[in-house]
Amino acid sequence: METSPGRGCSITMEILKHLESSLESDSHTQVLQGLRLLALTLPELEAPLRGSVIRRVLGPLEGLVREGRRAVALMDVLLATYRSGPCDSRLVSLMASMLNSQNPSDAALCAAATLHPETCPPGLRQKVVAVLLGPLQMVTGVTLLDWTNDRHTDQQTDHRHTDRQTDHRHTDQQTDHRHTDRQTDHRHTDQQTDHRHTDQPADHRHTDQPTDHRHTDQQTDNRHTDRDHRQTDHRQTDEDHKQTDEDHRQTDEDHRQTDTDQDRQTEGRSSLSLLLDHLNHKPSCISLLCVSVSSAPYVTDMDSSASVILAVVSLLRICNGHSPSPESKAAIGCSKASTNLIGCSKVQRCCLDSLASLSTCPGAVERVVEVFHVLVQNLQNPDSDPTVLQKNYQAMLRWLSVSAEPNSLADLVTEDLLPVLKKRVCDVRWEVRDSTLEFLGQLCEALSCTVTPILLEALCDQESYVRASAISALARTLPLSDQQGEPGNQTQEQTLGQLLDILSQDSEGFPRRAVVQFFISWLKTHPSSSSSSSLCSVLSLGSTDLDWEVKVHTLELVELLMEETLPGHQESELGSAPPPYGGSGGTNLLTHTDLTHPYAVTPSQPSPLLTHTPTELTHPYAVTPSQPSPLTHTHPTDTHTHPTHTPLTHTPPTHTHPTTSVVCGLSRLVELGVVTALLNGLFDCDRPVALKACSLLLRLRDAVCPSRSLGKGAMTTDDTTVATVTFDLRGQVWEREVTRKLQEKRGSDWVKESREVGCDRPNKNRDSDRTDGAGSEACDRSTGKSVCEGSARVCEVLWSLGLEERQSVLSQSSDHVQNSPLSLLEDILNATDTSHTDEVIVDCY
Amino acid sequence: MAREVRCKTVEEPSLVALAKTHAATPSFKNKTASGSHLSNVHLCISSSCFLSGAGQDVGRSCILVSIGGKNIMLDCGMHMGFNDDRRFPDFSYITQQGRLTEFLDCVIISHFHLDHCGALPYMSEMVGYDGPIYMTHPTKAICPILLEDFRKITVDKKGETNFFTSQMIKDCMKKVVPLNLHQTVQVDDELEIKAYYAGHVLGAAMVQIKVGSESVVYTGDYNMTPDRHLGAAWIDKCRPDILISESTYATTIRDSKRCRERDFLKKVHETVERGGKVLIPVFALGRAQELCILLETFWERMNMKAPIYFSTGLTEKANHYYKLFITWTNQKIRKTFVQRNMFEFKHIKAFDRSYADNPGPMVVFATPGMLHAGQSLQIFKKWAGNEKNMIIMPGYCVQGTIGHKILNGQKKLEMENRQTVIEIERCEPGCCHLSLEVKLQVEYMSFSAHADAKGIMQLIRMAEPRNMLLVHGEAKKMEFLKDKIEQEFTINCFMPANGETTTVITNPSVPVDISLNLLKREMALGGPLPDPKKPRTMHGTLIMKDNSLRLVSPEQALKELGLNEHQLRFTCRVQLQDPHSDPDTLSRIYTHLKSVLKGYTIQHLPDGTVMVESIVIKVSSSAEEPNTKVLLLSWSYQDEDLGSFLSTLLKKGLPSGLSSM
Repeated sequence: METSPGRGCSITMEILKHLESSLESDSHTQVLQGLRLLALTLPELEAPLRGSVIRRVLGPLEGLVREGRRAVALMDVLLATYRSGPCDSRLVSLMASMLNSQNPSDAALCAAATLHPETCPPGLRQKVVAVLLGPLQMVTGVTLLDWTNDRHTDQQTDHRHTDRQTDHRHTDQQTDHRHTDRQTDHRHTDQQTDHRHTDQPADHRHTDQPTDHRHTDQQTDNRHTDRDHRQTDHRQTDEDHKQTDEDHRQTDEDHRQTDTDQDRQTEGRSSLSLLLDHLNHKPSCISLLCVSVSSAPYVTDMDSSASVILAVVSLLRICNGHSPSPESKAAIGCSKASTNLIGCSKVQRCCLDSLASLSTCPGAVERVVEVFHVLVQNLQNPDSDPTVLQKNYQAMLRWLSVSAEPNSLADLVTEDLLPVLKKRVCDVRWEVRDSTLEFLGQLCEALSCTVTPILLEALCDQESYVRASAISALARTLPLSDQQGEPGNQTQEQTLGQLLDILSQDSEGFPRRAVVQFFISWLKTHPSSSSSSSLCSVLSLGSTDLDWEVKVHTLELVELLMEETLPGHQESELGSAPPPYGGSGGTNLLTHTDLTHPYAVTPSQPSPLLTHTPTELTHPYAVTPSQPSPLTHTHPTDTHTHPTHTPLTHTPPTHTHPTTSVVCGLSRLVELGVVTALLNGLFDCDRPVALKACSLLLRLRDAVCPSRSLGKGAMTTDDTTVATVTFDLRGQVWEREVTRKLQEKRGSDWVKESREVGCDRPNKNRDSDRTDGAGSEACDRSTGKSVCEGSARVCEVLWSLGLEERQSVLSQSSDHVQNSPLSLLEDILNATDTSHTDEVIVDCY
Repeated sequence: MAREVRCKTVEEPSLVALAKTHAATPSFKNKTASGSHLSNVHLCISSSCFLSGAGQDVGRSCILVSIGGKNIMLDCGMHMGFNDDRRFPDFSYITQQGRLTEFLDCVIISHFHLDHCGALPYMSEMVGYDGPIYMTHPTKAICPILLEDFRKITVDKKGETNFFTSQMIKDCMKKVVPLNLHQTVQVDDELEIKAYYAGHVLGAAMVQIKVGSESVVYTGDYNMTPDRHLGAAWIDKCRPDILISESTYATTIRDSKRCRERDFLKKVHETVERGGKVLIPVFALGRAQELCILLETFWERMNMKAPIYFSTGLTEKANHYYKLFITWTNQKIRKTFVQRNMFEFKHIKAFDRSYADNPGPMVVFATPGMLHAGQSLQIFKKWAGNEKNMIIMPGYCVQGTIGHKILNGQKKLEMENRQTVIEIERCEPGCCHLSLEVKLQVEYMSFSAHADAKGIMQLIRMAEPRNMLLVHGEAKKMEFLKDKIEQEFTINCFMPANGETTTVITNPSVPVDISLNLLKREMALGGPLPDPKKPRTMHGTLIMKDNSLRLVSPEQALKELGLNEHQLRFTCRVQLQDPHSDPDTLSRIYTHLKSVLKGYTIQHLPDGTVMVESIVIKVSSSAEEPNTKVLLLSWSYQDEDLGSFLSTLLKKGLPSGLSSM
């Protein structure tokens, strides 16, 4: 379509006209639509157009503000306008009149919206703070606003009897204030219009509608003189006002000041009674306080933070059913507001959020104990809503860190907190149990204490989320119990056993994920005391789990193990931990989980390994078939016969030859089942798992396997040793795949070489039908026996898998096909083909 | 350009926002009002729902209802077709300032499908909402499974960083308050909700939301005919002000589900008989269970031997939930439960990926349902090249997925994936290029359980709503249904488009206490005894104070509020040409009124006035124009009607034939 500039302009004008008429429409719906449109488009507009839009809509907007409805939508527009660029004073004064809304809830919502520094016009900040903190102060009786310095709000504290003394409406004098204090005292200005709606200049900014004022007047009992006056002879009154207006313009400064005070008192009383009305009405009381409390942390400054905290604490006490302080009773004149709040979880949630944010305030330290007390009180209440308790815990953690001396709260924790937490762990609601366990873990970590028995009990919870949280909490606290030298060895064994049971038997993914993560953090905190038998079980169970995240976490564990075992080729001179030979984890697992571990690696000459040079050890490792060899059984540290999960301690690192350490490291990894776990991951159908496994395998290959390990001549004897490390692949899902890959990669020279480095260990499963297996070819054929059937050399496998290629494939996301242009073209072509088919498939689950 | 084509059938953001009413919460102030007339309360509903484009897409349901000053979010769904921000509703549309918690009173989720609950963790944990979320017990149990499932799919894609975590799902579920069927839950002092059985899926519910005398019913997705494992939707005759109903099959009268099931079994049977393999990609929950029951009973009856497998543990876990929530299933399942639990399958076993290469026939249920990743895709790649095999798609597929492509009849899939080639190579030796030949049979079976046009009408008959609002459907079809509803039920039917606002005016009954004195006085005035079925006009003063409304006598009101009484009288002058003396004219007026106003008290008083009830009529004339009479009428505001009537009557003049006495 061709569009000339003139045409575009006229279209814009049409749109503007429509927008304007929408805002002036009688239909609530249309007005709302107009406001939404404005709020969305104004920030997008460029300078000249923006100006003209604002000019067009300001009038209708003023009308809407006067109407006093749709406060939230209106404020959206005003803020959008204010944020989008420079604006005239009319806009700011419109925002000011929104803050002076007759409805305190609306005013508070507007104030909360205006709160942020970039959106709050500087002149309005003080007013915003007063509107927001007013309700909180009224209900709790805690002085939040420094009313000695704040001229606007000092009337709010005035009690009614003082107001009565000034119950005369000197409307005439207000004119003066309007002209003098227009910017600073908006509420005041509003008040004038209250009485002078007929004789205001047409362009007056604050033109509140008369009906509203009548409501205001009528709310205050002691104003009937004024009302009667108006009812009987309205016109006359207005004329009088005009006259007195004229007179008072002449009056001196002192007189004016007195009147200002009087007027403020009247105004203060009026807003006070409005606020009271609101606080007495339950729904509006709750919403008003929620806004007030949620905004409190953002309006708090250095001086007021302590009192704001106190106010929030008092409010929480009121919610718990404690009567408000006597001063607040005096302030609000009745206790209805406080009865409205008993057990109100909405307000409690806001208070706790607010309290958590306030913990960073400068005045927080002096209030720690009070805050802590009220938080414990919340926990003691059996009816507390789960979300409230969750927030309570969050706030508690924040406040625990505030305390300058954590020990100062120690008594509180042990005497008050822990007993109630024990109760909450047994709550009927799983949400509460879960939050409590999460909190217990964090609490113990923060205070270095342990609650292991409670957590162990929770491992049997019927809700999977709770079991998972208990495991996570254990992960946080178990290292502590270790440090504190508790007689924990037995407990630890028991715990590890329980955790492995969960990993193998739990039907839900969350606890299983948590178990693997437990071992990750365990390995991080106890690098030297990890139990290889447990780790073996975790790796074999975790890498074949049904849940993809369990598998990913298992690979994270693998990564950690690799880092620990293979500190890197260069650094390996320092020596890496030699493998703990006897701990054939697979068999341990067998006894524990009744699952057959697919492999077991044993050194042919275990003890000399560390002292002998690799050249002397042509075959340092041999693959033990699933039936353990006699050697394995005779090893002193062998745990085959002991189905316990004794945490093994690594032998302290000894200075060994680098290659030896690499060989040892790789052997240790094989022994732990790392290679099998990685291959399980690589062939997994979940892409993130396969990708992670692939990158880990690449790292392993680059760190361990000499790049020319299969080449002729280039291989050193060290490399040869590394290349001889084998692992068992029998019974694995990917056995065929790996074997095929190996066959592809093998050359005739490799066969020759394999005769030299092949396994020397007799294999009892020689008559197996897997004659195409990699191991069989790797074995010594000169003897005519397939001595290491079912096993393959790690490096050879790693080189044969085409890992780089796999990685590039795997790093493509699962939706790469549907995102490709080719796929799109296909879809388009198909759409044209199928457009004339009879039925369009409609299905929404 | 290309993008546009792609999105043409994709739904636009379809947040249905229903705006609030202001008049619904009267401001309680010390205000007196005379008379008994109360203003109407407006239930304003604004909607921004652009509903499914070409009808091949799943919308996301997210409706905001404002009723009686309360804001309730109904469902919080996500769109499976988008990968970016558009997949979730735009919550800034609801409120640009502040948090959702302050604005919303509660969130209600109708059932566990992702287009109804998928955005929930995003909303509650990422946007920030701490208020209560309501859903039924089964939905609460199953929802996290589907959310986890979906999270996995999303994480599998590239560049998905800003997505909710497992912890977020859990934290979100902690905010959920479970609902029981037919149990009224008090959200706060004014707002109450009640759940009704909706069929569709396990735990699906319709909800009635009530504030005072106003109410809204939201159906979510529902099914009016029982299926193999679930019952039919049912609701009270609750006469809501508005019924918000889904309209997926707005114009369709669907062929019976039995037929579709028979067709499905026949196809599976044929394939298995000829030694082929059947792949059924499913999502973990819902359809899978229904099909399992179907196959299980068929296998049992036909004594079939071919194995049936589930691909992951997820579905087994889902079966666990079906067992747990047996009360939510249909009567047949519940009845037979004692003898045999329908969800304990004899023929269906867990699947191991090595089984895919086994020779011979088998049936495999594999996740995910759209063949875009994971196990189902792997199996598909293995089996695609054999024409003996079959794939049955029992549900919806997002555009661009392999599932969508094969449903559209594509026979060659470009995989761009060397790994695939290798795998194809393995099962199809010799086929060594970058595409996959689809030789297997592709079938689509719609098993989704939505109400069709007949069902929607049936529900309207059940609930008898005053207004109707259609969502979750295709515009054209909805238009047809709308006309039909308006004709048959003579109620307003709305089908709001995206960004459109609908206003519904309701007449709430606001309870008012009446003082005993006032009632006694009314009774003393005589007249028939009050009939509870007929309205009766009563005069009094309404006092709205401290959240209560009381109708009292004006005297009592004045006394209570300490006000002075002011008498208000209206006066009116009527000029009349009458060539008689003033007393004669008055007599003539008396006679005239006597004849016109029968049954009224009319008096000719000796002080030269005529009184009709409380209305006083005087006659005067000037000496200059003795024939021009000026009638002075005066009445109190209570007799305003009669006074106005009299002045109009007298302005017409007096009939000529009147005698002066």
